[in-house]
Amino acid sequence: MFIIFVLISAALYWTTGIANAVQKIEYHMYRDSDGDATIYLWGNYWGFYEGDKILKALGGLKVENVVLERSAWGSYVDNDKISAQGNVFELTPENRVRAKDWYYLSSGRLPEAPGEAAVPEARYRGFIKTGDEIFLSVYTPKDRVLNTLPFKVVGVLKMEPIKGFDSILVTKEDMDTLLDSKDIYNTVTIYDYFRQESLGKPALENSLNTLVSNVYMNLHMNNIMTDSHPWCFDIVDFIKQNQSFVTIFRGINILAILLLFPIAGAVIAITIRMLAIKRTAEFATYMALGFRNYKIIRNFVLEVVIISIAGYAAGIFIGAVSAGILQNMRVYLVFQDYMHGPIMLMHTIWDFLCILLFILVLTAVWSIPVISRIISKAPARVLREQSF
Amino acid sequence: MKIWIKGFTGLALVTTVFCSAVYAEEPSGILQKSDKKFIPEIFTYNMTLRTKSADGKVDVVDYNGKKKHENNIMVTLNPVSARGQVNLKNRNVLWSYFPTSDTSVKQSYQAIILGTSVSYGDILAIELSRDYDVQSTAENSSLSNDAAGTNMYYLLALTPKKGVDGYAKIFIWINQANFLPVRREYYALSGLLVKSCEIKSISFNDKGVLSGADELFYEPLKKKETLVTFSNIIVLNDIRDTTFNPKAMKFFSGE
Repeated sequence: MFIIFVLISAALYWTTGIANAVQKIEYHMYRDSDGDATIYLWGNYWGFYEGDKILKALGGLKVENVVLERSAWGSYVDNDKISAQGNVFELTPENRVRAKDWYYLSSGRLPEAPGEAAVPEARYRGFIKTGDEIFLSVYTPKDRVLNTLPFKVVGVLKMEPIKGFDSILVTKEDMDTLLDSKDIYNTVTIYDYFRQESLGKPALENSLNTLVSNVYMNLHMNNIMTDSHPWCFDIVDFIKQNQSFVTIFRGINILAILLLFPIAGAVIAITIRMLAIKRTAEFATYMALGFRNYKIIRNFVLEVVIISIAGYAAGIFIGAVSAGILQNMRVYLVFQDYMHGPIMLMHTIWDFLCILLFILVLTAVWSIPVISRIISKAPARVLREQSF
Repeated sequence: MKIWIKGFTGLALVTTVFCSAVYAEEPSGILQKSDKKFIPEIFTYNMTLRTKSADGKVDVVDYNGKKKHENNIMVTLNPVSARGQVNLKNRNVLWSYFPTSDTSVKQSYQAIILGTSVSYGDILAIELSRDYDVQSTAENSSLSNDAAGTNMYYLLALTPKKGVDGYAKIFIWINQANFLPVRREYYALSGLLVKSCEIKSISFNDKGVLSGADELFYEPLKKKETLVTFSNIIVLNDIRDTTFNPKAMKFFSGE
């Protein structure tokens, strides 16, 4: 019976962890990272424009927040083991807040000081690890000359589904030095969802679509992004497109519970019945000593509950250890084109409480009736005869 | 009247000689003269890249190329896995054609040719005077690897022309006696030496035209060196301009 509880707990640990991770990634992470629209600028200076000019262009729009960032696309990553192309992204104060929630490190930490960098594992797996020295090269946007700086890798990132995640992360100061400029940007993120949320969903969609159109128009009117190939991340469209995908993962937990409750419950019930029958002599002794039925049932159920809690603890431990092993083995999952990453489980304290509650309910529902039937329906005389 | 014509002719002659002398001593003139002496305007060539990595592994890539003025096209012959890949410099734009995926992509000057320590710009844009301005010049410079110390060199500091992608600074040593380049050092804006190139040998045919050259590129950041060997150089009067059209890359690939 202990093993059954271990297996149930471990299975629920995995299903809740994966379901939570996918749900978070699918909605909050994208929303948090890419806002309602992320616009990568193109055109002059290889897509870089003065920050004042961008903000002035968007000044007429009443939006919650506009974040300007810099991403050096088509950079070069070199050391004596690798020579590859890559993107470099800056860790602004805003990105650091985002990083706290969404950047997962398989080793090390995020860059804190100039000369430090964190690299995405999926791109440089096996080539770059924490502690390595790498050289990042970019063409400066204004003068278009090569600039190369040495960096020490202080961390390796696990996932790359959101803005900046597929990039090598460096401090803002290092990005200033690499680009040889402090006041130019090529990535604009618009946040306005929460301000407009009160409008209701249909109105919200229209409103955000209008917002994005207005952003484009204002940028174009100010000669920004004139070259073509703009790219927009529309959170409403994205959520709509992936709603079914998210729903599947939300259903994993429910499916697991629906399957586990009768199957595991039946096994538990049979086991309890076997145990109870084996212990009829013991129960008869209790009865002969004057114990009331409910006290015998209570003691028996208490034993089962203690076993189930021990099994729960062991199951959670095994689930965590197995997840840790797989994560360290760097087993990657690929969900469609837009999302891929290593196996990752995310839990809150509520998940652990819910699993425990499920185990206790399962124990109670399947053990109390069985033991009650055995004890209450069997005449004390029979029990006595069986036992003596 | 005749005296006036003679005087005018004489003045023109003196001016031409004077200007030629000044031109030869002008920094940009030195670079242009060096490029002209070293690299013919129109020619076909074979090129081999032998790259030695830090672990001692050697990779060899062979090309067949055609160069006309600022345009240059190279077709990969070996290794077999890259055979038919075409690299093109059409004015200031670099292209690569990949036959396996049947795609043409614009290349960055600094994009590295895989497995080597040279970039597309290093071997496609070989005449530095086309892409770089001379920022400063020093005469009678010496070179540390010139053991005899018998040669004197022009040391030019080059910066990219406006609108041209390039290294932040290139130092080039040119032999004062024959105007042939001897060494180049390529620097990033940060001041980091990203690459050096030592011209190991230059050979000319009986007519004094380039017939071959060996250039040793070394990248200290990657601890990797690539020997670039030009051979079988044939100087031509002309190559059709359509050869350097990006649309022709597929044809030269042999597809």
